[in-house]
Amino acid sequence: VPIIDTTDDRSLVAAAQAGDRRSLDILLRRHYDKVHAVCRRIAGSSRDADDAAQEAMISIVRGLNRFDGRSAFTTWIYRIATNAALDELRKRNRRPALHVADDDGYTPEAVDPLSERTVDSVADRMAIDAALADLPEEFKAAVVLRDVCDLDYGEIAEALDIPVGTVKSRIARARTQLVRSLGNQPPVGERQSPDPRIDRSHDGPDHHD
Amino acid sequence: MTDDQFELVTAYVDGEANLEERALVEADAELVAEVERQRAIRAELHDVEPPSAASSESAIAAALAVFDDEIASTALAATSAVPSAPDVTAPTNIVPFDQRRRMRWMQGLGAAAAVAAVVVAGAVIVTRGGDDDGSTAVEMRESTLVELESESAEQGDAAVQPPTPAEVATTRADELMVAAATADTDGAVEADEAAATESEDDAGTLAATEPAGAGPAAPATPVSATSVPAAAAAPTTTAVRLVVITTEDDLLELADEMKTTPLDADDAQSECSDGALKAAATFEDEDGAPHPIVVVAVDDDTIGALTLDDCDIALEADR
Repeated sequence: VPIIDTTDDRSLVAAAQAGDRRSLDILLRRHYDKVHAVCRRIAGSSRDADDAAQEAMISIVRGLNRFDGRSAFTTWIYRIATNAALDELRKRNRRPALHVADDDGYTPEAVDPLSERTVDSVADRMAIDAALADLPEEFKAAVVLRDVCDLDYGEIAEALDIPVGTVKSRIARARTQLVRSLGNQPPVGERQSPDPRIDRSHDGPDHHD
Repeated sequence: MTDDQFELVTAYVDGEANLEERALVEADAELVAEVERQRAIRAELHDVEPPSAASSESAIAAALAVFDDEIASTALAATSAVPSAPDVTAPTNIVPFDQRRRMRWMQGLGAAAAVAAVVVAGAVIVTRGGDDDGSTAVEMRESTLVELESESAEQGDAAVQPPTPAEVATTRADELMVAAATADTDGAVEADEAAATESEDDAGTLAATEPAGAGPAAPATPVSATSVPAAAAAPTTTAVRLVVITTEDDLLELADEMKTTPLDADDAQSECSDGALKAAATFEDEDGAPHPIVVVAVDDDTIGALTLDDCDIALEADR
């Protein structure tokens, strides 16, 4: 009887590419949770993550024959998951937002739910979601691939098709901003570029590009 | 802290700092404090709530449905997609699973016809008393072809040999099956049969494979859908199914059988140059040389066979 090693992604990928549904099923189940986690962190809500993860699964199937094995399978699917989550995020942002307004049309300014938070309260998932939501997409993708998927800088560079130096820069800026958002902002004036989205006059976030 | 210091700390937290950079961080209390902050953030990001079982099942079911509708029903890759895999290689040419039983039926029919032909030929030889060297030669060749077909399933060749004109001639003009077995081959046919009917959802076996980057005639390594450890599976079966086209009619028939719209020829040539295309069939030229091809739309009225070895259109047919 022919053989396939179901513990090895490469074997399963080869079998799935050859038309073996069972191998594909194993592959998808093996990696779904992590794909969903990437989508959850980038899209920011479980519902959007569900949609994005499903789109990612479908994209993986449709693109499987184009996967050439030069990169790790996980790197490839995390890239797909990242793109699916970013697409979902953009779709959500295009949807009309609900506004709370009084009779005069005045919209009260939202209270910053993070204003008094410290690192000790980071366990609050809403805080993390909100902090991530404030990150530029490119920062968010890099830090999620690092911190959720445990990809190294080289793999992230491959997944996002950017130089390693840019990966390093983006992750550093993402973490710095997350620390600030969650109440651990470094003393004002000690940082050269407190928010890369505001001040890109020098040494911008992609200065390694 | 400067941006460079933040990057230094990040590299330290991520294990991407070199020895010198690590020493710099560890010598600075402020940097060490930032390391702890970043580690806390990293831990929180890593801790993602798991998806619900319902969403997982739904997503996987949707993906498998796409596979059933769009992938499994069409001819799949002809060349390896996992170049560096040491123990598994991708298939040469795969016939869609929904054609497997039809092919098997056709092969059975072909074999029966060949046997009948031999019987008839034998009767003719007996009748004629074997005095016609020319006809005897033809009949002997037919017998040899039948033997070739049966022996290919019985002999223990370790590798699949490239299809020969003789092998092509033993079956339909546009389809070829070569079965080869290694080790104990008595069970080869049974194994293949079992695989073909193993699952109604086409979760059965795989066709034979070839090493990465090799041509369609390269030696193959078997792949299957079972999870038996490699070392435990001494008897292996390899089956290669090639859809071979030689004429415009073959091309038209292939295009008709495809459930997807042929790629635009220009787009296909571009993708071919990028190495992004997988063969749907094999075109055999006048010299009998096989070329992996995809079907493309040259224009509204013409389809073509784009060979993947030179990204050129080798055959055209009017629809």
